[in-house]
Amino acid sequence: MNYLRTIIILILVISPFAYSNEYKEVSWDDLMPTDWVPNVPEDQAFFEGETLDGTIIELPKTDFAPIVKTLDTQKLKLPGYMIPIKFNASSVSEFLLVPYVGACVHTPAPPENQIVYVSLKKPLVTQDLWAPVWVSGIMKAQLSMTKHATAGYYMTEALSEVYDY
Amino acid sequence: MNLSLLLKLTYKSILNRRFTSYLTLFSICISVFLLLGVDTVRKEAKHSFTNTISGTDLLVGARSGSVQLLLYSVFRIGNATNNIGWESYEKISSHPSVAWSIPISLGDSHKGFRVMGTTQTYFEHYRFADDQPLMFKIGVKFSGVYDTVIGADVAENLGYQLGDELTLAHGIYDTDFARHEDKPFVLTGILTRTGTPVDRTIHISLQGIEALHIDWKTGTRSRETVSAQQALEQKLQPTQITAFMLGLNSKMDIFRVQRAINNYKKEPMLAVLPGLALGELWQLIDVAEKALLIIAVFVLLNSFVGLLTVILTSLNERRREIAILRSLGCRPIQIFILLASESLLFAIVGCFLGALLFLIATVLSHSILQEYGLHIPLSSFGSEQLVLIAAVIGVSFLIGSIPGYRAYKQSLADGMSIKL
Amino acid sequence: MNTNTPLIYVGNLRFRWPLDQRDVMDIPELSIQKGERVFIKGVSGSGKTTLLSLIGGINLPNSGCINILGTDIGQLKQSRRDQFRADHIGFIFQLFNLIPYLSVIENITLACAFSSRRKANALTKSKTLEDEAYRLLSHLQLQDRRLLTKPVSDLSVGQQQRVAAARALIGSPELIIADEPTSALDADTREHFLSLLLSECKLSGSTVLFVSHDQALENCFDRSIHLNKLNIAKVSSQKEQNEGMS
Repeated sequence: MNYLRTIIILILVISPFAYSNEYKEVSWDDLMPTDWVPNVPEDQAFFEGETLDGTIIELPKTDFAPIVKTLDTQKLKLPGYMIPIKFNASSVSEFLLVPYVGACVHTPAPPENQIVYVSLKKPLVTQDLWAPVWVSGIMKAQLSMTKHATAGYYMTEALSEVYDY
Repeated sequence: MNLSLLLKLTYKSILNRRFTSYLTLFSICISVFLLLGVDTVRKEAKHSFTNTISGTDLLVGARSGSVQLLLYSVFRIGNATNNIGWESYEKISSHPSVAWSIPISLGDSHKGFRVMGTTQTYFEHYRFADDQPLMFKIGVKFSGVYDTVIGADVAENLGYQLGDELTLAHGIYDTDFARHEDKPFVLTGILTRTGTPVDRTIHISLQGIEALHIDWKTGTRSRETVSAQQALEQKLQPTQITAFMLGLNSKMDIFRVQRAINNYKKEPMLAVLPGLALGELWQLIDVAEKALLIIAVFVLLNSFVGLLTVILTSLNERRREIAILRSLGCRPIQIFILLASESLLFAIVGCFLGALLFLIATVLSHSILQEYGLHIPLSSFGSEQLVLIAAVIGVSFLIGSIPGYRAYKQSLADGMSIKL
Repeated sequence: MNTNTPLIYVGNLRFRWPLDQRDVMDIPELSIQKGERVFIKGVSGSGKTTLLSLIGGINLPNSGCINILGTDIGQLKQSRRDQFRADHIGFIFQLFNLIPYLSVIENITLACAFSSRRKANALTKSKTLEDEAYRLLSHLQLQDRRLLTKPVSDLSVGQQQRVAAARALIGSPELIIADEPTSALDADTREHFLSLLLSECKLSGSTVLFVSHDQALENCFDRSIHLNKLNIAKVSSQKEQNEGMS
């Protein structure tokens, strides 16, 4: 009876580790097609004396940063920073995962294929919104724009944990 | 040898020194109350603030700072530096990525409550806490130019009923020389309580704002007044608003749209993500709240030093008593417990009283806290607070060990030669 | 233990304070029988209190044995010694015998709180400990119940000493050690207190070790010991001093 108990305990203890090994670790570069060159977006707004045409940059379909199709349905693990979308005082449940934060002043925001919209299975309890995290889940690579979703990377029912340096 | 006897002796000994005991107890009670208060306010403040807005992807206002924009547009704290032109708002809100938009206009008040001009979309799309929509306790949204909908606190504090008339004032402080008396508003709806600044807001339509200020274009009431009726006949098209909220079709577009707005060359605007702006706000407040907590901890430490002093001073007087106990067969370790338990007893009773005081204060200060958008329910006293109290009691035992140890050593050294 | 075994037997007792170079106590032999009422006389500073603390088990001898009721208390561990003291010895001091925040009765019954043996003994004589306390007090001629409900600090010294005696006697411990209990009393009260104490000790069969400098009381006792003759430590040091001088 004791042996059985030990075996069950061992299995329970090891399984989370086994589970986490299922996720393939990728880097942000892997999310960009190797043959794609991102273009430099328009300049920041500086007043240049004459009133310029205030047309907003349209979102033509071709201008979308392309995504890597083969990543779809794969179990991936990716580190990044959270831009909270759905949150409360102690936890975050939905966020945009991006490679860096706070650099918006120097450079434009990251292109679409450097953003993952993450919805967590269980909200991440965190006091520090700026702390980097690991996100693991099944990647969904949405190729084209539909009525409800723009092209891009999504992860639902994902797991997350704080990133250790 | 039972513990209960020692505790009984400790208890009787404390009773004997009633006056100093009360003072020490009072000191501990106050510092526990302070510690609990600071800790709870800081947690609840964060909670209250975070619960104010939900589901909004971007907040947009005239170019200033993100925290400032968050504060005046969502929390109604502070003021905008400038307004946004209506054309810019229309252009952006009609963009295909935008699912809905809520324009708001601030600047008036009524008896200490801020007036906000907005449109019907506010009642449809504004969300707070966990995606909660706004609901009406009684009545309906405004439809006419002079209709108004008020939040729960306004209704409660001023006792308004449907159909009542409100006179709004110009500016954020309501005094009788700057009121729009000629254009009273009629109450058509009261919202249910949200626990957010919505409760303290008086909502009117944008047209209503225009009507109010139709003869204030110079910055003050013009000589040729326009009556309420006359105003209705005029075109009440808003030309500017203070800020607006956006909901997008897809979250992926957030950065693109944000960048587009920030780069909009016709008008300097700032678009922020509420989540990030709140994060920045907390960074600012963090320092202050940590400082407060540290102060509260020091106050508590101070009380403990007081307690320690009281017990150590009594130690001298009690050498006689300890010698008597030793002669009766009391062991040195029991002497230790006798004295250490004294501070433990003080701490337990002090914590209990401090917690009680805290709960009473929570109930009594309800209305004051509301003004700052804080909502501290009684249920905020939970397991975390109990952990805090347990820590206080634990530390007090450590502190009590000091006189306990001294008494222990003394009892061994004194023997029968009872030094007086 | 047969009737010939002494209640107290001290042999080759040597004691010095931790930082001292010389022994302050050196007793070759002391034997006290059960039921004896012994008067130990000596001037102040002659080591009376030290002797009592050794017999009481509060201080440990450096060498030699102290047998009480057949047990060498010098060999006992600290806690066993304390328990032994609680069970078998009752103390009366010169002054301030009572704990100020306890009532008169509580002060007396406190002795039983530390010894279940004494508690059991007391309960054979009265129904409750409180009753036993009152009984002893009445023997010591303290019957006024109104007085007994007052705080202990309101009692006169004579009354306090009698309460202390009751505490020492409750539960019939075998040995009563009294360290100058009458020195703070005036002459009239002194003799009265002593006679009450000794008669009560006789009733309960306790042995009494009474230390005092007041020789007038000597006659009330069975035996009288000079501490200076008993303790050779001071004597030898005195002798050495004398020799050193010449």
